[in-house]
Amino acid sequence: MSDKRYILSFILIMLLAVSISGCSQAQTGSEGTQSAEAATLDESNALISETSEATVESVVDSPEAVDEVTSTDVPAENQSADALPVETDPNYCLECHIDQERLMAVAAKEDAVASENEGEG
Amino acid sequence: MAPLEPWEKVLIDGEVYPDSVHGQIACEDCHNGVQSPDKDTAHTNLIPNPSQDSQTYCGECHPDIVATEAHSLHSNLAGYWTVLDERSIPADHPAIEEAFANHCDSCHATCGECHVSQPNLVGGGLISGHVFQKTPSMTRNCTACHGSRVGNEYLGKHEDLNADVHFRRGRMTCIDCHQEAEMHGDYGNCEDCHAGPEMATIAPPDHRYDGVQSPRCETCHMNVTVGNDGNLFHENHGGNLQCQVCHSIAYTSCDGCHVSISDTTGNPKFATDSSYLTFLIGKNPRQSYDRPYDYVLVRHIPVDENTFGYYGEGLLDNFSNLPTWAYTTPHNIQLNTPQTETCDACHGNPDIFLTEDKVYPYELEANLELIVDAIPASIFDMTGDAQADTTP
Repeated sequence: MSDKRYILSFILIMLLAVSISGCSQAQTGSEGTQSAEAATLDESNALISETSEATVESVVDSPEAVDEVTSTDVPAENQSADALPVETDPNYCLECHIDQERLMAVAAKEDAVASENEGEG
Repeated sequence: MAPLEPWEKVLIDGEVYPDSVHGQIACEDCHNGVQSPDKDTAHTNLIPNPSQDSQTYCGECHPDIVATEAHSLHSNLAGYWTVLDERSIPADHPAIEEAFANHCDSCHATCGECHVSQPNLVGGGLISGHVFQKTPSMTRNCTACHGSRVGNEYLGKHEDLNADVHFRRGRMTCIDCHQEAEMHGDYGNCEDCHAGPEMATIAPPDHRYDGVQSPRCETCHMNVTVGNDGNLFHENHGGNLQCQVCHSIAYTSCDGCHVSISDTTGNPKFATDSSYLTFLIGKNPRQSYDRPYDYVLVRHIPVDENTFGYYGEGLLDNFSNLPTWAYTTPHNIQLNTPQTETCDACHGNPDIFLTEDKVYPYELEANLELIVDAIPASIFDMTGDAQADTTP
């Protein structure tokens, strides 16, 4: 009788152990997926902010290559504003042009040349 | 009109514009440039006024309007060349063309300068946060350019002179009379009405006062045309006086426009020697089937023999080929004016006629066809009718 109890207890303990192990693995897998997604996002952001026009164009042409591109692909000294034209936001310009404070700060004062005409119109 | 601050000129209405029809088009599609957080980079190859190439940027959606643009005076400025060609000789045209490019060409108005921004002539700048306006603003578009004469008269900006009754009482704007077709150069097809043999005899109009009057007062005031409104003035003068002769008040004349390049800024500039109020009746220099009047109002136009003197001596060799007093249509219409008070307000009153003594001696030759030789006789003197000196 005691042997049976011992065997039954052993089976229950094993089942509990297997169950705990399964939950732990599932949780670990979820965290891994999130980490991978975050890494992909980081890399995408890095693409937008740090890669050259040529690199981005090649990525756009072959999306599967995105995962292979990292911020270390382009030396920092090669980065310039001229190399960042790839954006597809049709209202990109509005970010500045609806911002009165920003426009007031950067609008060219030389535009405000007073007319010397007399008797206009 | 106060000029806009630089930032005001480019401020877009972030709430309204993105949802508008034109707001669906990517900015770069019309304005070029590149997307960058750096201002100078973002503005690379910027096209501030895309409609200067209306065929490319407007024609895709508005092909019918763009198709007639070449006929619009706002676009082709043909009126300038009509008179400059007449006053000059071909040998001087290169110098005049240079002056024209520096000074006159700025009067050219693109689609955008009426429908989305103020005209460049007054410094430009978005009007309603880049929201396109089907009907231009009267004060920020039309009278921005047509301001010192038409705008000031129509809106009553001259001291002690009433605004035009169409504005004062009717709150009419420019577009109520000068409609879309006229603005866009869509003048219709002459053959639609003149389909017969006479078509071959009709010369193409070469002046804005050629051809059918459009707009014309009688379109709305039909009862005056048919002469059954019981008004003695209309019965006696309906056919031989331009409406404005009786229904306008004093209006602006100018003298001595001259152009040059500023020594301080290097920008083209112009100045007039004087601007003053006049009210003068002259003989009609453009008498025609559509303008049969014997008398019309005339104003002195700013042209001068030395208008283009900065660019060379004697560029207007044929200055006297055209008058310096011109048929005019002041925009300050009133029901009652000094002329409508009595018959002798005009008859026997030399003060309101363009007589020889009112013309500069060096301009006499050019204005002979407008100068009134004999003032219409006083009705009172002819009839002894005291009524002539009171209300008819």
